[in-house]
Amino acid sequence: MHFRLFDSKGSLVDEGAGSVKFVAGAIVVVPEMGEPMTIRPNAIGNITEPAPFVVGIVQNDS
Amino acid sequence: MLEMSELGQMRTQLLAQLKDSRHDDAKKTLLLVGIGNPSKFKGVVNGEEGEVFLYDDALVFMPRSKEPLQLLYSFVEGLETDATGYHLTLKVRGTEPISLERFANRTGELSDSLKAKIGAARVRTSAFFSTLLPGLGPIQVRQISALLADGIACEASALDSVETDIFSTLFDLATIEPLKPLANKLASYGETWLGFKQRRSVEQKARGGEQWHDHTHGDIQDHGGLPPAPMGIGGMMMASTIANGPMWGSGYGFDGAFGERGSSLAYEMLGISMMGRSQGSQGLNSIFPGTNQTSHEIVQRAIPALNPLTLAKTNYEKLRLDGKRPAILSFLIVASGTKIIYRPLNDALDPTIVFTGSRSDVGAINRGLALIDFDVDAISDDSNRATSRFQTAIERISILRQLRATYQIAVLPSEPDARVEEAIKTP
Repeated sequence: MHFRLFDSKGSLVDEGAGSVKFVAGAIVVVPEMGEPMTIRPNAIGNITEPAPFVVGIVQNDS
Repeated sequence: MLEMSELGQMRTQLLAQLKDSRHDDAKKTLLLVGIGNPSKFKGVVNGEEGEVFLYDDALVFMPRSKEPLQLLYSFVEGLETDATGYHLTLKVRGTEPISLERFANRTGELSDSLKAKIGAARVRTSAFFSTLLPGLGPIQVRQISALLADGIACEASALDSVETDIFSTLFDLATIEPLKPLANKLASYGETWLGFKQRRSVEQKARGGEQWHDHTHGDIQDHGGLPPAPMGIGGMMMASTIANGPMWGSGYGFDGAFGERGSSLAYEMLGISMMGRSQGSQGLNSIFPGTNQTSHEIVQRAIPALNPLTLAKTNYEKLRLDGKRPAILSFLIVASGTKIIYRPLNDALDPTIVFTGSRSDVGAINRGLALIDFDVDAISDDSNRATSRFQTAIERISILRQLRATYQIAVLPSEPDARVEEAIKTP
């Protein structure tokens, strides 16, 4: 899996390869290097498909 | 925003899991109504795309991003279908109609399911009052059921117009003993409303009827053939014996004459020694070394208990006000001047809540309470943003924010009643 993380202004914060898993209902993106990022379901504002076969998760505060 | 690509076949699973976890979480964190297991439909409600969940008592619509829409069936006044048959309109008491469309080939199923669930909810209410008030005739029970639909409070005078003193009778039945002095005192402060809300599902799933299995015995290698034949001379002898009987004389094999020990080999093959229980070594093992047959006694066939089939049904007898976890919540609303008091009548742990508002606000407060499933902790919660478990609900559910805006005080039954009195007198 390849991920790209943007901040609320749309600037790229982090990018790389990793894996994704669900832990206690929350989605956790585990980069190959670096800290995992946990997104609780209530923090998910919207789920989009910005490009074919790409899953976008818009956070409530972004 | 987080973008994930190169997910391969995991993409579909990820999207499905995201959707499920969002719904499960939303139900808890957004204090959504709904009891029982819902049926799900994907479509458009009031112009927003999302999923509709039909619970036992309510419709919940989860749009992709906006605030969820909740509707208790007791607030539904009608369901209309347009000429095409693909556009449904729900007429709702006190608010704008709700439009449901783009459910494609499941529109009919949604309409039928909605009608069935609304009907079932009304039947449960009717059954509850019919049991609670066995002396009343069907007409009065019907009127009372309509006035006291699930979660809707009814004014005392309206109830008494159906049957004299029925409000005080219901009030008495609805209040548990320890709360009676407090409830009577609160009722004396002003005009009173009484309500009932089902909080637990009484629908029972179908059970049993699975494939029969004899749990008392291990699996039998039915049609599995004989144990593997030993190698070498032992195997040759075994094959020969099965076909013709032992080499040193006939009569022990399957070809033995009827009644002349011809069946002994068959018993041996089943592990039952014809030569006595303790003589296993003299049985088949002695004839066919290596077959490892062990003798045992013939025992009566086990009669396993069959798992009975129970059909899905509604447990009307569980629609009770008493017990440890009553399925029905009873509550009192009192309008006293510029204050509105809410008090659960069969839950001694929940607080009495005082809101600011006049008689005309009772309906809105009642509706708001019903839509947060009477979880009053969310109204009185004053913990900070980081630790509050209701923060998401407060941010996203407008009705909860309205309730919190009018909330004045919460007083536990263990605290002095004077605090409620004081709050009522405060301008």
